[in-house]
Amino acid sequence: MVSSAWLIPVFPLLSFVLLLLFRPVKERAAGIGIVLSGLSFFLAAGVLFAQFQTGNTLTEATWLTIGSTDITMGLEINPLNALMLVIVTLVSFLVHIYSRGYMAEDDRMTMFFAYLGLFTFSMAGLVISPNLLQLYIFWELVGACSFLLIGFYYYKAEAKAAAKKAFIVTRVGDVGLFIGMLLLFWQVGSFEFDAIFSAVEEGAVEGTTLTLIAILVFIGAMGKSGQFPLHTWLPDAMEGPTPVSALIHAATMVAAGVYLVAAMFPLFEASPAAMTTIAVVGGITAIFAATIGLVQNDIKRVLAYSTVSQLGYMMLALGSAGYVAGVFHLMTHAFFKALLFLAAGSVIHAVHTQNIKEMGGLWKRLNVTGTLFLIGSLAISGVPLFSGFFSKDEILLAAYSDGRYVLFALGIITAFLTAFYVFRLFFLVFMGDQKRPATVTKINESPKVMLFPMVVLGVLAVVSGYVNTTWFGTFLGDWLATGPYDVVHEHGEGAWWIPWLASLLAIGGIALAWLMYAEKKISHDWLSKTMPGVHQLLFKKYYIDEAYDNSLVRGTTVFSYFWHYFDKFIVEGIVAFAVGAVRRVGKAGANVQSGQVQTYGAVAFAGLVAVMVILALTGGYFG
Amino acid sequence: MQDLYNVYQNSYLFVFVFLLLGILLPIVALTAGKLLRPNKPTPAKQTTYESGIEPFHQSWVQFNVRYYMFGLLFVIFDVETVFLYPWAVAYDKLGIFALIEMLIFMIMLVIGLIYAWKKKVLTWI
Amino acid sequence: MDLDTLLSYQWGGMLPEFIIIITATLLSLLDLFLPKDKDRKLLAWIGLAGIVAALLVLFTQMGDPIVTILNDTYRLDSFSKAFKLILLVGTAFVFLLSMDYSRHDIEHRGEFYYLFLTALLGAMMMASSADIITLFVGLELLSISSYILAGLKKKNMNSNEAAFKYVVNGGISTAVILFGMSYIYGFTGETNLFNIQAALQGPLVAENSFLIIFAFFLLFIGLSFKIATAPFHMWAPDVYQGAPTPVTAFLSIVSKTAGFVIILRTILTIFISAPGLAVVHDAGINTEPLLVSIQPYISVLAMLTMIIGNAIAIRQHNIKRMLAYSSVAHAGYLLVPLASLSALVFEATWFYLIAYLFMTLGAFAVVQHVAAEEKSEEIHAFSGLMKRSPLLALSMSVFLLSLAGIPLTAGFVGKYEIFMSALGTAQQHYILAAVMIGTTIISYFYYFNIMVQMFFRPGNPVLHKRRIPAGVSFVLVLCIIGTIGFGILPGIPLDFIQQNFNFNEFFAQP
Repeated sequence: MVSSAWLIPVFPLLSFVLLLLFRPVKERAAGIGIVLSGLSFFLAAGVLFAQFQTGNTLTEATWLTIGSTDITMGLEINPLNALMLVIVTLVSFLVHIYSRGYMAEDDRMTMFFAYLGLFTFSMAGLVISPNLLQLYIFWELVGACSFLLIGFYYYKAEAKAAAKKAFIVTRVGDVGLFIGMLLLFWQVGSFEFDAIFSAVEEGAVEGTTLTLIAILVFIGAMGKSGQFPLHTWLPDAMEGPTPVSALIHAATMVAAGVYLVAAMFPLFEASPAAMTTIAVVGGITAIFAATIGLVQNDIKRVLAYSTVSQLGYMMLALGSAGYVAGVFHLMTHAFFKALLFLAAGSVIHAVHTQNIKEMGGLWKRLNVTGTLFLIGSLAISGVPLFSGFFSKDEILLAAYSDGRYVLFALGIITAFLTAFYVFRLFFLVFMGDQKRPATVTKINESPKVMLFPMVVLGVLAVVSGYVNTTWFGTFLGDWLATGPYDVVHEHGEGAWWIPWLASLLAIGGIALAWLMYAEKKISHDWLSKTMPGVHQLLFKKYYIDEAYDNSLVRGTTVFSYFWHYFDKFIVEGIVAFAVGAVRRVGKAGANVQSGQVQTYGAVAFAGLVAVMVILALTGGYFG
Repeated sequence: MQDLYNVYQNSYLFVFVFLLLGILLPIVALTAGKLLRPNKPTPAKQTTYESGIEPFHQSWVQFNVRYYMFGLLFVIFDVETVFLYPWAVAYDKLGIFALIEMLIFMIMLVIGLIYAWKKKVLTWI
Repeated sequence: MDLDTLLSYQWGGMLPEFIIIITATLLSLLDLFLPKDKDRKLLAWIGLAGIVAALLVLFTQMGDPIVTILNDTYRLDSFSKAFKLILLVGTAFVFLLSMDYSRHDIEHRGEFYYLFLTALLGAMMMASSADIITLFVGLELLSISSYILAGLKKKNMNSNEAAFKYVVNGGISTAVILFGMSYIYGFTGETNLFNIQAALQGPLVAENSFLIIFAFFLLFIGLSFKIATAPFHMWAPDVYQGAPTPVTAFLSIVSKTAGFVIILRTILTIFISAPGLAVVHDAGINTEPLLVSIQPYISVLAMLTMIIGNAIAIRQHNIKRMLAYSSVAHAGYLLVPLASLSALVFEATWFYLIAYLFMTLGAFAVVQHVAAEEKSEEIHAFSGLMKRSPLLALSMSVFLLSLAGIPLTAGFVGKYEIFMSALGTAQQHYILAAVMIGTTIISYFYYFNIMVQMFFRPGNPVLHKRRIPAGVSFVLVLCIIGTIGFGILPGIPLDFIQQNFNFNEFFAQP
């Protein structure tokens, strides 16, 4: 089974090629895409189970010889890879099915499925790479696919702009990765992960250089995973079709940065400064994106900021030596965030708007979608017994036991904010008076082909947390620890109160959201009848929450506007400056290019004379 | 090597001397003439050609481009002759290789002539 | 010289050149004697056959030892064979393109074909000369043929302007080159490259090293005209825009390759052991080698070229003009291995030129076809190409991605190798590498701008729908195979170089 793992990326590639060459009609195109991505998923699942028996495998062949160094290409199956393969192919498979319904009215469905195939190929290729160069190549490819898919609605000016922005901002990160990769190559003489890790372990790379390399590689991860300040592209990327947002900009590609840090964990672990950088960037991103999420009115944008925030969480975990916590959250997040996006897509499909102010009371019409959205919301909020609870708990434990108390506090606050904004979304969309845009006459539940993938993800959003719990054993953690290199796997002890605090905050956030957005519009009877205990508890806290509203919430709102403008003027200002500098050089050059041939000759001569004069002055010929 | 370098620098000295002479000669001659000659201008003396035809209209007239064509062809074959003469004089010394080279050279020029002929450069329309 | 010496030369080494010159002569005579209304496509096929024959002969010469003919003025070593391969393949592709080029624009089809061949002959002579005089004659043969080619659209003002500017700038560069050569000759009294190399090691030279560096810069900057790098790049956009598209392709590939050939040949042979600037140590005064002294200058010129080329390309609206600036930028990348004096200089340059050949020719093939359909060379002509003709749009994307240096294309491997050469030497050229990366990022803007036009813009109404002609599609297929094939399996060409070309022969004394 493991030996045929190379077929996993080949199936989606085949789908891409077939769709591009034969351009089948819509339904058949969807069929081809679904079947081939399904095959890929079943194979990935098989490989995962086979990995339990066979352990880690590595297959390689020489690709290119430059001078005396061989550069290899190949594939590696270890716990992390196998897990990522399953996540990628599963979400891809489900999104393929979902798109069959969601994109049914689009003329360019064939192209859409072709791009999905290409993306799945690239992403699968990325996670099986046994060396940094191969990873980099696929890293670029997923970026290109993301560019194509964000700009899929090319007739929308925003989509075009967003596609361009996504590509260029992530490229900034990629350059960091590229430089880091080359530096690493000159230090170690190989791109192989194994070789790199053993060199790092032997101390072959000097301390400051190591930190520099680690931070450069992390800059690459920041670009892909939308970490502050390279996050600006991700919310804009929501201009793409919603299934794409679920697949690429929630579950898989944006998690590639987290995967990169996890896959190169020994490198980062060797440099405490790099670890701190990762943790701090992760923590800041988590709270910063969460605060922005509070004031957004576009359903997909709220989810996008939430994705940025959750990715920050994962980085915080990895930076706090919580390897298992980070990977665990990556997995659960992939499921519940994909679920939330697909459910949001289902809502958009029904009401044809993304503005949550124009929605309301959709629960009655869309009760399946609503239920699934609720499950997703509960999971992301970290409500006990849902998957997000377990993984978020691990992260908080990791941050706490690593002694990063400030970041831990940020994480805790973020947990509260997360619960609040997700449920704000939920209450505004599904509860309250029935509202709909004037253009929509009838709201229908989405077809089964769209509901099925959501149900699967809904189940996973609940159960996937149980693979690593304090109660039923830390199966995932033990298994991940069998990876090709040693990772610290300690389950933080002694902080028994953290899960309690986290749950309390999650529920508090939900309650606050309820009070603010649902309370005045929904009769008390409904909630008190269905969940009397919760209602009672919340009701008593009412005045405290008023105080919250005045101090904390308003304070956070100001804070969030601050970040919003910081983002808009400072971060984008720096980008604009760099772009402007290039423009100015271009303009100056174009002005010299007057079209007059004597100018051309004069420039050539002036260049020659300048070289001579500089040579004479610096060469010591005239004094 | 040092000698060669001296020769090299000396040849620039010659150039410099010639340059100096070239500049000085007209200056000295004209200045001397101006100092020595009597100066009595009349209108007849100041015409362009004192004892020739009166000049009429501009000297900037358009020539037919074919003049240049003929001129170019003439120069090409002139150069051919310039090459052929020394070769013919030193034929015994240069040997068979130079003969082959000369043949190639002439064949190339003949092709050029055929080209000019077929492109109707030789006929005046 | 008697007949025996003459016959003792291995004339077989020059066979490819002979084939080309005979084909060119034949074509010119045929063109004169064929009836006027007869289609001149026949000539193109004969010319192509000649190039293929020369290529075949070149393949039989692979692995042979060095051949020197005519008092070492002609020299066939691995270096010349490797680069002649690029020159011949490039010209063959240009021929395929030119067969389908608009008949309306160019009346004199015969000249169109055989001037390519004479230009190729000049380039091939440059590749295998070991004497300043023959190098110069080859250079001029290439230049003069290209001047005429640029102006072959006789009734088009842009084309006339292009030819005129090309001649004037070419004249300036020739003057500068000759000035430099005269210094070298004056110093050494030799014209053979290897003799000059030996003569430049004398003590007299060391005392006057400034003059040698002066001569070096005259030569280098004069030759930079051919490869269109700063400060001699300004002609490129105007000429590329005005010239007929196949000629533009020829200039940007064959002529540029020939420029790099002559630069490598002259600089690395003549100046390899020449003394450079004096360096004051604690122990006393030393002279460092010339090639080390001039490194910073070449680096700065390379950086300027990359910056200028990429920055101005962003502002262009004409696709050929944009590709001209892009070609300036690529020449800048190609100077990096030379500036860093890497041991990989030949391999890196050769591979990049091969990759550049495929991606640029492919791009020009698409440009030629789109321009013929839309009657416009503006970038707007590409909008909605994905709708009109998806295969064309996808192939253009492959070429653009390769030009931008995205992985899995030949352009990436080429850039990567150049990168390795910049960082692989003892003294690592970080700034050079950084500028290369920075300008590469800038280049994404204009390459992706075209992709945005093709994919995300509503299409123009199709004005003159044409089938893709056979020649163009053949070139496209080969270029795609080359661009992607060498990107995925770069081992093939790299092994090919290592097995067939021993670049150490370059330095072997005759």
